[in-house]
Amino acid sequence: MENERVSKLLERIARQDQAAFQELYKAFSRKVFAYVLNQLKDQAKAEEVLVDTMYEVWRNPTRFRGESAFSTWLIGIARNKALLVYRSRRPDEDHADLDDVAEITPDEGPDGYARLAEQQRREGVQHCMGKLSEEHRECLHLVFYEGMSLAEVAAIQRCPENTVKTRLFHARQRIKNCLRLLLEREGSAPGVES
Amino acid sequence: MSNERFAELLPWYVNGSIDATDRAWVDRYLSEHPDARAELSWYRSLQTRIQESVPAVPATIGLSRAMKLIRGDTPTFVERITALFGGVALRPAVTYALLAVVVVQGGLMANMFNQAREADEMRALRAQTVEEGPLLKVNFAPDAKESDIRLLLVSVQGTLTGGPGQLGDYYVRVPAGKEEQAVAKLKGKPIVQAVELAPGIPPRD
Repeated sequence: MENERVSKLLERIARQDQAAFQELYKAFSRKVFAYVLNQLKDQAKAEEVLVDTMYEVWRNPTRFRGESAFSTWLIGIARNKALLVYRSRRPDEDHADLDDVAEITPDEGPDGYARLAEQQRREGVQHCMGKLSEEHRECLHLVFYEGMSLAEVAAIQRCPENTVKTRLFHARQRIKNCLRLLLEREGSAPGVES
Repeated sequence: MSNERFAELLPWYVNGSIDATDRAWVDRYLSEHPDARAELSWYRSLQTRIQESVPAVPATIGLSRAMKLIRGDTPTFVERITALFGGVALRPAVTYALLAVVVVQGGLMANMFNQAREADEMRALRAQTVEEGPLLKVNFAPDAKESDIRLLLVSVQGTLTGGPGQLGDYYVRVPAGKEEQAVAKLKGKPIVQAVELAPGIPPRD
């Protein structure tokens, strides 16, 4: 949905137009849900954060100034709400130790890439995404799911563009090595097509 | 160097957000280095798998709950979470317990004044809350925990006076004259992404 259409809906929402809110909600719910789910890895909580995020739009529709894509602005709100939920987690809910996903990989050649590209499966990518830190996982999601530009990712993550590049580099190394480990260790196990 | 540039540009080439000049550079690099196509294929495969890994949900997911919020005004999920783990909204029993502590403390303080103790001794018992003083705007790293944030604020004698806002800004008041020291200390902590002096807490629209 273009920003122009969004602005018109927001104007109506400012006048308490519930139909406009519903239209806006349906246009962006999947995107926000996907982002929050990627962060929290819990569908129920992701849905709750989505609802809270959209409710924030209902309460403050004039806060969007059109300086970015509406979805980028919306994900910025969702991110902060997800952080509050994330920070309230018990310590034992933290992500798994990353020691087994070293960044230095022995095979950077074209054959290694080609084999991974052919054999990596959705479950494997999901598994390895779950092994990444929050920042790295978020970075990959924003780039490859949302299709955001470098500047947009930097705005969402509130860091310089060079930091995004660095995060992306490390995320790529880690996920590639994780997928390769799956491939080597498990053969036909989840993550690797036989 | 060109390999580094290729690696740096490739994600944006794959997701389509790259500008025309860089796109042309990547195309030229790929034509000159056929082996690099394997990395491109891997990125494209990764993108597809990431997109597939998000479960298909209807666009109306959570909509009925959102409409209830609009029509009712029940507390939101994040408000409930915040309240549960030490937010502003305290449960009645806790509130009464705190009130009792305040009353008892007040009695003790009054008694001490009546006994005309030395002023130094009284100062030692005063709370360290800062109601006036410079204000800092702080952004914490995504993986910062509530407990770590609290400990850090205590270490700079900071009092949380606002936030988080929609952009994750927290407003922390610190004692006058210690703002530079606080900024320097906060900047050196890995859980702090950004910190700067703020003129005030922005009003809500």
